[in-house]
Amino acid sequence: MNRSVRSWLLCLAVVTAGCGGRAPFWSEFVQTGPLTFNLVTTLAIVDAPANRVALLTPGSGQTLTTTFVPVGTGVLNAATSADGKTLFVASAGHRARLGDARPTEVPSITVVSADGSAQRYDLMNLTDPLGGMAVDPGGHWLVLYPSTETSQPAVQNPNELLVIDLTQPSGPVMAAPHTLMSFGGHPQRFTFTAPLHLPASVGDQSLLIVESDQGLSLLQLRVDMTLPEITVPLTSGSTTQLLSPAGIAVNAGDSTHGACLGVRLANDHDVVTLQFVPNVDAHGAPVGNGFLPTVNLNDVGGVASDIAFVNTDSGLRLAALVPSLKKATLIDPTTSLRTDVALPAPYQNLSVVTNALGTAGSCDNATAAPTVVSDVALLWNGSSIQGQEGVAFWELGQTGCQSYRSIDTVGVTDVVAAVLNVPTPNDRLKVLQTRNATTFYILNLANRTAAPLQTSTSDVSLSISPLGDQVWSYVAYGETVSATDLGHQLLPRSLLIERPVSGVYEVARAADNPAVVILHDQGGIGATVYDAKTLDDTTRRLYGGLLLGGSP
Amino acid sequence: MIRTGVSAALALTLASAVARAQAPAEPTPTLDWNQVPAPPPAAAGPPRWMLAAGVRTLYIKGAGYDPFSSDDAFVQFSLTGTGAVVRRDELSLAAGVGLDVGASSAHARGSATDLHMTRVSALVEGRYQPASRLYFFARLAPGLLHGSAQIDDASSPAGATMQATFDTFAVDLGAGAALRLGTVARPQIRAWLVADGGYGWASAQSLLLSPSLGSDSNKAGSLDLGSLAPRGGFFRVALALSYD
Repeated sequence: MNRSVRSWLLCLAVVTAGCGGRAPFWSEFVQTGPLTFNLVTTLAIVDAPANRVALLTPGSGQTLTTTFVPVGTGVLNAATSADGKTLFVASAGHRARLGDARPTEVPSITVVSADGSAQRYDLMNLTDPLGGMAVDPGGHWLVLYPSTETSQPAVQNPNELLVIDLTQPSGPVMAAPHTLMSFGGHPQRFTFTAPLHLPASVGDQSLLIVESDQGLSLLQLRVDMTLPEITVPLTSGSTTQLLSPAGIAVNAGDSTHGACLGVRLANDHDVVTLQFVPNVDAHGAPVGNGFLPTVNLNDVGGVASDIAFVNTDSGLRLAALVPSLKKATLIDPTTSLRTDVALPAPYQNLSVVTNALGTAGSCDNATAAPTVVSDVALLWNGSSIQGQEGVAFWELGQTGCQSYRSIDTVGVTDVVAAVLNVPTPNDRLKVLQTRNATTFYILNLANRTAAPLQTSTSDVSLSISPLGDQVWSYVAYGETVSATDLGHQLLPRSLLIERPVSGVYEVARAADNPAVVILHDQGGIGATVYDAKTLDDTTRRLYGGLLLGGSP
Repeated sequence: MIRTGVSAALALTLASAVARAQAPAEPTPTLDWNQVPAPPPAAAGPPRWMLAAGVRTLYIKGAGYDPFSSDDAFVQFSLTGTGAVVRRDELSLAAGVGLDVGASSAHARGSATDLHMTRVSALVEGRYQPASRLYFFARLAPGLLHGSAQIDDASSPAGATMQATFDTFAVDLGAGAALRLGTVARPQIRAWLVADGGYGWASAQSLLLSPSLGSDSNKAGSLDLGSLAPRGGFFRVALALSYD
């Protein structure tokens, strides 16, 4: 090749070479299995690689409108509010290195509403973000805490909390830091309580209860976090063994009795009850939080698998299930008196279903309404052990024709893994999800029957219609989706699905006409949208590449 | 990023043509130069007929092009044919037609994308030749642009490719120069290196991509990739042959 030809080729190479570039967004792959939330009227998909949330809103004719809401760089976590209508996204931000074209961005919280509006709180006093997030059901507070599941700084304080007041205006804000008093423990669970009926000097207050692996911490959240926390280390009275909480139950109290807490332990036979007494000075002024807990240890003979406060005709009791002894123990939180109730099976879980029952608990020949409102609890096991299957109703008082504290078993022959609540108007129903079985059950609390529904595989996922009229069943990454009517017929209907299913979400539309959005997340994000009422194949619409649009 | 095979093929074509243009003429022993009439003198003024083939690179700055390329360049094979309709001294006015064909491929968030654009244009060109081996020109080229965009996303219905096509008016306005390289085979046929640049305009197109599902197309939603504005500055290098 002579010199002239080389020169011309070089010239061509120069002019054909591109210049400029494109937004980094296009080089980020779509994430498989993104965090997805049903925000009642829209479906939110956290598109973490693109630092945004996609809101999929079904409209008439099964149209699907996609709106993109930008969030902070480096999504760490996301969670919804208690009513499910608001999404909170925690982002790590970005620290610009030398020569970095991207500017520095502080960690942030983005609050995304179902209508697409967003507020962003830039946490100005943070360098290293925290990935754990707990949201106050009241919508006032958001707490960040260290998480082992997301990328975290090299050195972290596991007892560090960052409290953010969500009622303040968005923009640059300061998170209130707080370090839990620790005796070597690590926080495990966070519970925001409803307002508790605390001693008169305090009044009704919500608390944040932090369960660590060695005790409890009780906090009254304040913007400046000036109130001291109350730490309750849990130790056995007879040994030096550290006791680990495995779950709590909260009773808010009322005018007749104060608030109380129950704590079951993972490694001890005791169940702990806490009540609250005033903490005031000689003049009656509150000291510290204005209250102190009194702690009682109640030996129930075995490790309690579940606890709940129940109303019996003898008053408020803390019910603890002890499957190793096939019994339940009722504990008076005031006197710590205990009453054992033998159970026909080693039930491991209980749910109070009194409200769902309404008047349905009364039998046909009941002639008088009960004078004391006593609870009915649903017992189920959640065990993977065959032979421990079944559910039972536990009457905690004289109700209609039922005898005192009777156990009424229901003939469910599979291991129950979860009990799913059904919203009004079918709240008398519960859906029993089984484990390793090709059946799920529709439990009718009113007539205490359990209708079985057979499935082609044991790997069935269930979700309940927000309107309470259908239960959706599908096989993850299969092409099977069915809707079972929760009315009188329990009639299953299948949908025509042509791509692997990653999730099924019923989303409200106008005029009480919901749509169901079936997501497909393999090779991108796609969706099939049906009218959730008619389930008409001919009006369904299919969508693909849902996260490819809306370039920044 | 595939910058299409057009570039490479064209480079080879040009290189080959240039090599031919510069290669020494093969001896023709049977030809008696004394008995052959002398070749006509080089025509004064710009060439009468010209056919040019080259590479046109359009720089599309708009974000709508981002899914289809990792940079802003859109490269096309460019073919033009012109004929002088008016010649006076070193000035001339030429008219002709042009064809620009090209494609760009990329990956958008992991999904393969393709954009094809073909432009057919009529052109009017004014030329000024201050020297026998060099002339300058200015060109106006209105035309029709046909484009097709597609994306292969496995989440699309039935795994089908989603695509969209568009047709729109387009116009190039540019100027350049041509340098005569020499004669080819016969004195009337000359080789030129032509370079020009300017601005290519076309109206923005909304890219709503849909899968091809035939009679079931009403069951599928569209993917909105935003607006593609296939316009921007361009630069072209071509090798041309002229005939007088």
